[in-house]
Amino acid sequence: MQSKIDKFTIPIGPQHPALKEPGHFEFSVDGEIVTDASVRLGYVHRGIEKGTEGRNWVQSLYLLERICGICSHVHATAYCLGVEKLAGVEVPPRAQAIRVLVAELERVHSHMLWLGVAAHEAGFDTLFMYSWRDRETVMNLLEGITGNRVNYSANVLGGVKCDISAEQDEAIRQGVDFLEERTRHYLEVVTSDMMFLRRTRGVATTPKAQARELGLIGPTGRASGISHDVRVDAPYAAYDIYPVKLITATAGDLEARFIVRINELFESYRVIRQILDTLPEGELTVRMPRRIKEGETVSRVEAPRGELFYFIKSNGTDTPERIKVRTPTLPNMASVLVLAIGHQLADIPMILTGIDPCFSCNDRMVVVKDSGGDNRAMTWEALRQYGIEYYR
Amino acid sequence: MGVTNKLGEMGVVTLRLEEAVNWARTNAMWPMLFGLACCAIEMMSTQASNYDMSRFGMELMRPSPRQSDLMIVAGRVSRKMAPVLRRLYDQMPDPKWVLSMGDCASCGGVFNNYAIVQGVDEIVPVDVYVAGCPPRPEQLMHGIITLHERIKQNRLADWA
Amino acid sequence: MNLIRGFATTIKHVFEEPVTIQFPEEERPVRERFKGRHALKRYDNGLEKCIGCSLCAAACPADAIWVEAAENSDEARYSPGERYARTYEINMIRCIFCGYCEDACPTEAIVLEHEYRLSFNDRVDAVYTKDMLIDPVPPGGQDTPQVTEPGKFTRSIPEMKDPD
Repeated sequence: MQSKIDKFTIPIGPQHPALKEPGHFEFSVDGEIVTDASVRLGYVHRGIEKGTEGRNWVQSLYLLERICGICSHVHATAYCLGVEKLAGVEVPPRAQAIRVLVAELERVHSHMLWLGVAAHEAGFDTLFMYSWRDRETVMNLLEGITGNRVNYSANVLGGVKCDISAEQDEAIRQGVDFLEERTRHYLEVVTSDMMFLRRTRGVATTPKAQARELGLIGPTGRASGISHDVRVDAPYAAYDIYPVKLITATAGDLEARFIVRINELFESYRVIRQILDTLPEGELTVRMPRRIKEGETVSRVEAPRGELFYFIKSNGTDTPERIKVRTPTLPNMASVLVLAIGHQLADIPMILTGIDPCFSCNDRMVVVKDSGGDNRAMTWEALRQYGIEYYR
Repeated sequence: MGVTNKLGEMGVVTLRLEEAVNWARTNAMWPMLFGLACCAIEMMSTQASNYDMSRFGMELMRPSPRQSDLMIVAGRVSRKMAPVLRRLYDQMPDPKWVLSMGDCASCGGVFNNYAIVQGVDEIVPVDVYVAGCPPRPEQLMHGIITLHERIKQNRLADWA
Repeated sequence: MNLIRGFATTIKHVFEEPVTIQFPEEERPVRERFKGRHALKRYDNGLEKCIGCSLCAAACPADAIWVEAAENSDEARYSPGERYARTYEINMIRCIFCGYCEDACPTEAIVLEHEYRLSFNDRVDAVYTKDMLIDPVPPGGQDTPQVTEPGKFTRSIPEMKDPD
């Protein structure tokens, strides 16, 4: 009698101890080895892109900041850069420098958050507690500068809202010195602790050719040797005055991703000190027109997770016509499905955390043309009723 | 009903039993991991060492609904996620409480549109609403303390 | 060897001071620029700064503010100028604490202060009305409505002193 090997399908999520945010994964396993994988997203879709249609340019800024809690400042920066380019307005250099300062502080906070969460997934809760304790230093600095711990609205259209005073300057320097010493300790822990290395070395190895084919971006791609960084290739805001070094690694496994992100932290500390030393004098904002000229523009910035891409279209009124956002986690997510094949089931949380997923950024709506070939444009009320009926 | 009748003369005993049960319930409440979005970051921050939540007895964030008492809905609930939320709430054993953390869980927040449930109390009964976008860790702890004070007002006549 | 190094790190921290802030017994004061609950301000002599223009309600990205204006008269004057806000309500669980109302206000009437303890048992409790938001009368001033002499407070944004 022929016995078929039954493929088991294990669903993970949307609520699962390995996931911090909801997403639905299905892995087909043969024993403990994964043979196939698929993903289903969309559990935190908020319709932000549709929400910008009814609000004017300034209100949309506060709405777009809330796409992601961890990388909220770079979303606002990308939007502001795009709109200022459309309006043809030149932002004063002090404002650009402060934007870069807050962006680098946000990168520090995001990488420390990721370090703690990745360690928690590996079972290393001690590192989680230590790195989040040190992260409180950055949160206090950001609260001192901008007023909020998460979703800090430091940007306004045409500049920044908050200035750096002398005692904040002093506090930032002290905080960065403390963090640099702690980061050296973490680098040593991550590269030399044998029990941790057993979980990260050799897991999810991505050679450079495969990484290029899968389209990995951000620190995940740089860990495989792809040397792309928007801050270096196409400098925006004040990055041409304060250049950043490109950090890559060649191994392509999880350990390389840890090393790349921690080395990026050292670069961030250096840039923050450089900005504080040479902050240019001047105004903080410039006057923006209420109606933005017609046109389309594209702006790319480097979020802590990769390249963030904004497409902004204006039709001359005081509300945006269309804003499209492409976040960096979306291409990296596809690589998880490919890389998971061949690994054991227990490695899956580590592989998923290795790409630094941010599920909130991910959920975009795709307009599907129905068979008639026409794109139905729905009003707010019809869409809301459709949503209620669909999930009844 | 039955207990109060039988022990009616010994009023001292019933009051102490209420206090003891309420004290036990508030001091060992286990939250369920239900972080959805940016508020989840502040909830994890409350769990970390600077604003420790395990001082209130919530050391373990239980992933399984069968082992938890308190569901902290942290973040926005979309219409796709709503049946999942209801199913998890039904799986929790009694007594159970729900704390709605942040603007988006309490009333939809900034997102007044087709995809977000306008307030989790459309689906599950909520005990405490904590405002903020996202609420500070101290604000969340103040919400938990408000919930504890509400539980301490519970009387035996309600649940016997 | 690594085991010993790991244990040495944690045991060293046992003897250090804990960083936990014992809320609610001990509170850390928030930073200067923290954006907490709103407050409506008054001038030095007790008149309210808010003139009921509802620029804050138009600016709010979450539509959390509701303003109804009414006319001032010299017998019952609430604010300098022609109008004052008869009804002023903010829904705290719609507000995202962005500070845009503060930027939009022409008289600096609405300011985000440092209060952050906002938890409610019911959604209706979260709507803060004007008497919950307005500042107390500064020393040396009178409570509104005031009786004033005609012709004195005609400008909506006068050069009047703020309380300390």
